Amino acid sequence: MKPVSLVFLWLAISAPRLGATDLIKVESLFYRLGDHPAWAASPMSDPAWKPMQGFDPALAGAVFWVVGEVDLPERSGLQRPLSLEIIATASYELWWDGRLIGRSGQVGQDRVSEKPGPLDNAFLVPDDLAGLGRHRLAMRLSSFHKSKKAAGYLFHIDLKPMALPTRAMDFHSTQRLPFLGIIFLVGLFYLLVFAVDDRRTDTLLFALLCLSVAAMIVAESWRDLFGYAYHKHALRLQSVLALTAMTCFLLVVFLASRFFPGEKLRWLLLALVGLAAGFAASRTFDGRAMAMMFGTLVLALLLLARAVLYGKPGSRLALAGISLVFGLMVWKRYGFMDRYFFMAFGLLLLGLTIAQALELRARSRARREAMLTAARLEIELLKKNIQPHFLLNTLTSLIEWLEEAPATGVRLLHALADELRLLGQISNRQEISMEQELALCRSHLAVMGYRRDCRFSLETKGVDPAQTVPPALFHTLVENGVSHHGGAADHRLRLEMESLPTGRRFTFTAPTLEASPALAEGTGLRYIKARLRERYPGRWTFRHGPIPGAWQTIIEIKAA
Amino acid sequence: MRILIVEDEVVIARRLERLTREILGKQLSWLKRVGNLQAGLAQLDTRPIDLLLLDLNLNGRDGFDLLERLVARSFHTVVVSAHTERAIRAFEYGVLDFIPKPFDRKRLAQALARFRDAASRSDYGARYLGLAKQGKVELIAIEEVRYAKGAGPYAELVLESGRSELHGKSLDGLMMILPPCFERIHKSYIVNMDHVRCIRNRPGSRYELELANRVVLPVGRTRARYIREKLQGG
Repeated sequence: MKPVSLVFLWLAISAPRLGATDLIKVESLFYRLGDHPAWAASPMSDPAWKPMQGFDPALAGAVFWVVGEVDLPERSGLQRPLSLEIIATASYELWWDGRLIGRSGQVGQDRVSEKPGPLDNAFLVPDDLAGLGRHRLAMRLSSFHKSKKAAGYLFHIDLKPMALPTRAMDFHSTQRLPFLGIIFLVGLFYLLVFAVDDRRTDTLLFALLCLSVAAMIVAESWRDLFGYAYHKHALRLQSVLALTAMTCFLLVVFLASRFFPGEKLRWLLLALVGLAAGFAASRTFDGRAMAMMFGTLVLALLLLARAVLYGKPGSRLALAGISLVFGLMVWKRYGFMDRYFFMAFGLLLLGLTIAQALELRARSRARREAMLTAARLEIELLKKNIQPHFLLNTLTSLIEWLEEAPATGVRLLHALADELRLLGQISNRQEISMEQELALCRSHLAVMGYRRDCRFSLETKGVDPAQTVPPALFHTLVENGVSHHGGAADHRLRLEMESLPTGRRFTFTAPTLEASPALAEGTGLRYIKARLRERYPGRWTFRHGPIPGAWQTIIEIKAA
Repeated sequence: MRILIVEDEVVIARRLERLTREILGKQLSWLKRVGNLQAGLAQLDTRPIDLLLLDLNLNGRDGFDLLERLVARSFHTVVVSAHTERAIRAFEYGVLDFIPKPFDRKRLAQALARFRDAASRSDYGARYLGLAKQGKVELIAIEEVRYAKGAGPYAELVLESGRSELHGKSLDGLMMILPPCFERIHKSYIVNMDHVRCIRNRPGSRYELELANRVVLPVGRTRARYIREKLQGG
């Protein structure tokens, strides 16, 4: 069946059918090993003919014949012309009432001489042989190419009006095709999004999931769309099973990556375990596919239930989708795989697509805000230079020194120039070396020393000058520390760094006379926290509080 | 003159002291510098002063809660601050002057001159006056004050509600910080001209003002002409 004709046939299906359910399953069949042309007409009462039930593996090794009788009763439903639809994992010649009416492939004596025919065939029953009454069907078969695997034997014969859509053309086979287009496009789109814009694992996994489902539809529909020689049936079943496994696996891993990114490995292993269990739970292709789907859908439901409990955005939509698929599967069971799988999965993917689009929008908004934040932080850093409290007070001090002790005034002027220059150099950076940061802190302490007419110092312990920190992080703490110093006797500020197994910890101590609540809400704290958030999202902590005679700040940064 | 300086920046405090001594010379009888609020308040409780030089941003805190309290006291306050955007608000609390940092000798002298000139008025009048009550200060809006009457070193404020309250400043002191709608009509009276209905002639070339609530206040002879002109003009 060429795909082009599908469009017309799809339309044809939507037209009302005539006697659509009238169909005769030819079930009482007999077989006999060997090869005699006369058997086309031989009576079935001969004990040499054995009843055929399914497809005996022994038949794979020789030429054999199958005969049967079909009764055509008075039934208006069976519109002529009639066709015999045969599904068989064999090559054969077909006789009807003694006349050869068709072939599938070429029957041979061995593997070399047999040419495998298509798995599905439809043969026109000549009108003059399609009258009421009893008819005789005979087939000469060989099946040397059939795969040795136990599964994959098929043998069905149906007699039906030709006007009736074939198995390939009925609703359940064709309704999955539009989904193929949609799901493939969605997968391709998200693949492009991943490559070009949002390089996050869950976007990639979603794209692969869609493409995997699309591939499943192609594999599942191959038989109906293109047909294949019978010996490839096992191969197709294996492909479908493998793709089902991959789809189920990708579904769980995608959901994990989307809702619990830190636990991807755990869910990945659980998915593999679920698949393995499903595989072991049955011996048939269909059984295995169902079991694997069942196992991974249960896993997906648990994952999403947990995500909903945690209030993760988009989780409820996803849970609704998966529940729908799961419910359909449990209700329809084996019918589900054939008929409803792609529609259900199509709807599920629709739901997930919406959720993913929302997620992408949220991410791009977060990126925009992060950029705005970076610009704002740079401005805040630059503003430190010109805060009235800092600059105007320093200038007033400067004037006094210049009038009373010019040499000191000049030193203050240079210290001020140092601090302003350093602040200017670092303002547009996201991180600077500890060496630069300490130089900045010390220049501020020098300026404040002249203003307060005392000597402040910054003692460090365990600090690595080459390590990087966000700009003016400790400078802000030093500013706060000095402004709240209140004339305490101790003029030494301390910064200590410790390496922890999880990352690093900075402890900053500033002596103060009063541990007041004002210290807990310094304006600089917003700047510090914004810098930490920008540079180390989700892996920093900030604590501060009074200790005897001082105010202590502890910043911990976890390694990435 | 007794002056208290409250400024946490040592070098700036030194500057204020040095320049104040240079400007006032012998007129300065007492001057002290403190570096924080607590010391300042303690000092204000132990000893009366005439003028307070105050930095608004003490040790990172906002001096306005302090200003609220000071508005009720007998002495005048001059704010010295780097935050010029707070100047207007400071005046609303009845400070005499606002000196932006950095400042030179001339600017400080100007503020001190204002303090010594009884006739000086502040740039923007106060919007609130404070009434000291049992350790707390109640702020009243200036519009509520109908008139003030001299009561020794204090002033008795008569409010719209009919209430009468004592304020820590003398009439002279109050005049320096009240908005333009207040006038010293008499040695013992300051009136809110917005509450005046009319001026009347009395026998013996005396004048009196009638307020909206029918209260009558005398007008001093020397000020009569000015008050009359002001009433006619405004």
